[in-house]
Amino acid sequence: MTNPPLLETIALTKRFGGVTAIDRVDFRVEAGELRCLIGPNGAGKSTFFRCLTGQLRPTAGRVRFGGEDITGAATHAIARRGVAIKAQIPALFNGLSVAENVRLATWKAGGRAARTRKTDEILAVTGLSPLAARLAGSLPHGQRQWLELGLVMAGNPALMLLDEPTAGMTRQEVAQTAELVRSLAKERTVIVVEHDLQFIRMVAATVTVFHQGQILVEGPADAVMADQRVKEVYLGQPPTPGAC
Amino acid sequence: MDHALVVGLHLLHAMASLALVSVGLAVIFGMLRVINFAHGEFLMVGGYAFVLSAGAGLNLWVAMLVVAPAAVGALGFLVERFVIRHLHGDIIATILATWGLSLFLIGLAATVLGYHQQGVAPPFGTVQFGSYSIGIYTFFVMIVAIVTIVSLFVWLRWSRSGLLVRGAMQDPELAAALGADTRRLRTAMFVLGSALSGLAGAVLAPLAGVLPEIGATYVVKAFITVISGGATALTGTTLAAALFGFTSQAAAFLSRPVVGEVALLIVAIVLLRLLPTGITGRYFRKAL
Amino acid sequence: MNWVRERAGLLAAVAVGGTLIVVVPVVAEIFALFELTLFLVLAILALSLAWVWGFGGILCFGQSVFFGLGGYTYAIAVINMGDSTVPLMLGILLPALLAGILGYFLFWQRISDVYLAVITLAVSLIFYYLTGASAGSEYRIGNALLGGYNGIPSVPPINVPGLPEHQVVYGDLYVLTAVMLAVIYGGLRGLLATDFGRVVVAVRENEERAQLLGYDVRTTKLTVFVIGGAIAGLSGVLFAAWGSYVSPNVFSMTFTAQIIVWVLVGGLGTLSGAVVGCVLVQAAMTWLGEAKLADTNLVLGAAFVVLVLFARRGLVPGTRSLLADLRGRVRSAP
Ligand SMILES: Nc1ncnc2c1ncn2[C@@H]1O[C@H](COP(=O)(O)OP(=O)(O)OP(=O)(O)O)[C@@H](O)[C@H]1O
Ligand SMILES: [Mg+2]
Repeated sequence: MTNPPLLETIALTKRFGGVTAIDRVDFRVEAGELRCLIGPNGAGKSTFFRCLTGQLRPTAGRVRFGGEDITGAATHAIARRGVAIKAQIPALFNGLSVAENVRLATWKAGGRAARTRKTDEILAVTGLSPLAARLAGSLPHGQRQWLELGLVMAGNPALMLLDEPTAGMTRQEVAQTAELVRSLAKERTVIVVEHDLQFIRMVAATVTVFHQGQILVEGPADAVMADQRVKEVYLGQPPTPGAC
Repeated sequence: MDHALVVGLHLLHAMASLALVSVGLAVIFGMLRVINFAHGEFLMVGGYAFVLSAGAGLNLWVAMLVVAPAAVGALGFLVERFVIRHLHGDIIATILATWGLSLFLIGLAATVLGYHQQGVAPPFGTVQFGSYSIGIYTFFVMIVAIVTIVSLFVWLRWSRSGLLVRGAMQDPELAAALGADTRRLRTAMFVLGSALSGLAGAVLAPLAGVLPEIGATYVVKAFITVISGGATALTGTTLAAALFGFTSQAAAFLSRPVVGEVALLIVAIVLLRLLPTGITGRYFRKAL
Repeated sequence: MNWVRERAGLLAAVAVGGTLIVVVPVVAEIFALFELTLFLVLAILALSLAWVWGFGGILCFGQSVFFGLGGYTYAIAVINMGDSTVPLMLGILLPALLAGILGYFLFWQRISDVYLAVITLAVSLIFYYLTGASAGSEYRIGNALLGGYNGIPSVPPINVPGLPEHQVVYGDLYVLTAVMLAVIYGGLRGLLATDFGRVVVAVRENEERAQLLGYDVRTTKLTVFVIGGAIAGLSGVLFAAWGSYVSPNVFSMTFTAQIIVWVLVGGLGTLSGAVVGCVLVQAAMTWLGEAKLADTNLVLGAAFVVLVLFARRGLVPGTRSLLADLRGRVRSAP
């Protein structure tokens, strides 16, 4: 017997009034995998993520995580099982300092001393140590992205969902992030929504293409990029870096 | 038989009064999303404008149907121009400022007119149903409520300016981009809502009397009605007014008036628990 | 020196608190002391809203419900029991329980601020109507007549536990109230410094993010609300004991509005601000009432509007940034 996949959705569907954002999606990711999700604007990628975290309640279908059904479970309960998300628009505690933000995400680390250590570690990894005392609300966009990435890392989740983590970052930062994501994926499962071709090549992952709420193609990056249907949904062009 | 008829009339009257009390707020809060906690005092000012001008010898109907709405409309203009506009839609600031305004108006009325009840006897006399008598003015209240709501509805639905208003309420930025002066539109709508509140205050004054603190009896009911109505302000408010007016009057009949008041609040709390987006949040989405 | 600067607020609070508790009862005249006791009782209520609203982010328009319920519970229980110890506890427990039930109702479904405000307001009006309609000899609980809008008179004062003849009145009640206020202020500050306190603030800042990090927002808010209810209940108990009287007015909209003004005047998001705001506003209102210069509603309402339009942050945060400003200027001077 093979192990069940870490994450599996069965005919997952989400409708907003008349709009079907996610349409009977069957999706699976094995433990330890690094997966990229791409697709044109409005394809339903973010909605798919929000259904996985419990932020949205699916209209139909099931979500299984670690072999257990988590459909419709409360967001915090899903988070406690080890699912963490970096949202497309960074969600931070704006009125708290950068360090306090990170510290709030470290509750799994243990006691006070352990949490402090973890906080310092995350601040160092994300390059935010010099800004530890700044209010999160006063950070520029790029650094908000880093901070949210830090929050996601601090909880040491089994599954990381990253929704466009490099938006608003410089070329060099994109490369850094790709490096970071690769190293993160060594110990856990990561799903990244990303438009940036350079990023996708660098992390060399399996790619799933969403289109109009459905999975269009799935496979190794190069094969997917070469696929005629994928080119078509991107209006005859390969996805350009930075488009979003 | 007569008893049933009279009970029915009382129920209808309760629904109509609640609709009247809430309709101005349906415009101001339901459409403009301005949380006007001085709504009750707008009714109070309308009541005084009517009672005082009628007392000064003005024709009763002119005082009720013209002076009161005009006076409160003017008040609304000042409030929008000098307070609401400067809060830039900040919900909490609006709640607090209008609450302050409410206290201020109460204090002003009390200082100028004193803390005692004033009134005008209901015109028309009564009609007899068997052994029961009922004021003809009751019918007048119902008619005013129906005429007000129907004409608002017709205006919004079929006139050009109504369409403009609906568009601007739904998407202010788009409307502004299309050339509508949304700022002036908001002021105009605020004035309209205020004038409707003034009318309601005047129409209800012969039955309820006026005193500086009378607003408190209206404001919470009005808010609960509009909020329970949900997203489509006018239809929602009318439906909620019917539901709550009926419930509270029926409960009042079965026991005592105070039980009616409490029943209204409890029905509203339960309703909002079951339908957090209000009646029209769930059904009647296409309505106005 | 640094240590002092960092804890300036706390030290100031301790200094002011110490003076209020120890010195005032000795020097103040009996009437002033009586009045001051009321201010401190109400300051406890202000603290409860500052906590629930300023830190929990819950805009509760019904804080007076818990206050009034505390007062009524105490009054009814102490009239029946004689000794005040159990009634005092009931006066805290019952409001906390009501807050629990109400909170469950409010937080287990996503309800917007406005709905929450209106529902809490509706609950306070329900209490207002019900207590108001309780006139007549048939509305009695044991020996206590509810008395409708006239309220319950002759509520016995608090006594030393187990010794009904040792009553806590005048100077003693003042000291008791001041100590309670200090304990609650310190307790809330301590609570805010714990991990739980950080979560409370995190939930206020961004509910969704807190949930995504695995924090149960509903129970957090419920806990905040129950604590707030208990504190408001205690304040209500002290209020009933202070005036030997409680009436439906504690549930009225005007009173609810007043609590909100206190917190706003002092500054939302601070605890000390609520105390300062409460004492200042009440003192001003008392003075206005005595001087009969103008209608209290008129002045209070105008102040409210002006405050929101021109000084939205409130006194304490405003003063704080002013001080920081001055300090900066002093330091940069040669
Ligand atoms: N809360 C909502 N209410 C109504 N419609 C929504 C909502 N959220 C998303 N949609 C719709 O669902 C569809 C999918 O949106 P989604 O944000 O998931 O796309 P996406 O693939 O993440 O796009 P992008 O690349 O722009 O981020 C869109 O048509 C969008 O308009
Ligand atoms: Mg997206």
